[in-house]
Amino acid sequence: MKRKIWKWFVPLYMAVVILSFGSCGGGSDADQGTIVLINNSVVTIDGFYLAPVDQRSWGSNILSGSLFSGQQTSIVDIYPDVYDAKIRAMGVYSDYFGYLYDIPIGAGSRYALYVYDSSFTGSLEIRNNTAGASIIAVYVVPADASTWGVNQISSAIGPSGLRHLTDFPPGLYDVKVVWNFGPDSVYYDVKIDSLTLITLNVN
Amino acid sequence: MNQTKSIFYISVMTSLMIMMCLGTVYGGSVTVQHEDALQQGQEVGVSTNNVNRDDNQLRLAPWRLKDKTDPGRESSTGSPSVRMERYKPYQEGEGERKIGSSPK
Repeated sequence: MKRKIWKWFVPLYMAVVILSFGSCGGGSDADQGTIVLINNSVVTIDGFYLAPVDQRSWGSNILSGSLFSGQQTSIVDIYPDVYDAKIRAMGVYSDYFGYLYDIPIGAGSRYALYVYDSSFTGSLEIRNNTAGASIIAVYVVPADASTWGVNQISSAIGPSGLRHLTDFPPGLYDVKVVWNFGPDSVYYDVKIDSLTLITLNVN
Repeated sequence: MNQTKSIFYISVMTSLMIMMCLGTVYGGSVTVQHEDALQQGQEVGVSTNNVNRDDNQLRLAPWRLKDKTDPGRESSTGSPSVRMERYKPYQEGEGERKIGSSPK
């Protein structure tokens, strides 16, 4: 009798174990979505962030390594929801960012996210070329703006110092530099392009 | 007299051209540094053989529409002594009015 039970029990137990392993991982591929990130730009992408639209933070980088120019990678098992995406590229001169919002990931859906050179922001560096004056505020606004917006620097830029500002959408900008003494310096129609670092030498 | 005039015009034209080339503005100067292959106008190709043709194809863009916080590192490039800050996007009507200071 014991042997008979054992004969049935072993195959049954193994079947249960196999079935359990099969359902591990939170469901089949059809229940979740996939994003294929395709780097068609000249720079290396070193960060990819995917956050539900209502989440206030981008969260952590989900790329396991760098995505070089010409490479692609798949991000699988994405729980169905609507997401915002951000990429970060490490250039020679600066860091650049690209964005995509409201991506509806459904069960079994597959999105190809293409990254081109024009997908990225540009950067602006302010160099204080004076020997004795400090920059206490920098205002950078689109050229067609009617006001100067907010101060872009959190601390003064001392003589011979510099400050690197990132994440500018491409376009024409007006820049106002406020010194600790003397008149302000104003620069009109400074062009910032994708994947470009503009250095403004001020004195 | 004519020679003096000619020299004057030539020097004015030359300085104007130099200013335009260097992007000089009001005592400052602008330097432009493109990332390498962009400067040469190259478009890097990528094999899309493995990408399903039925994919929904989307393209990332340089426009920041939401102000999500970034708990991770802000920068990975350059010397740690170079301080980087992220651009605070312009909000219509915010700050001091430009009128009065603009030569436009």
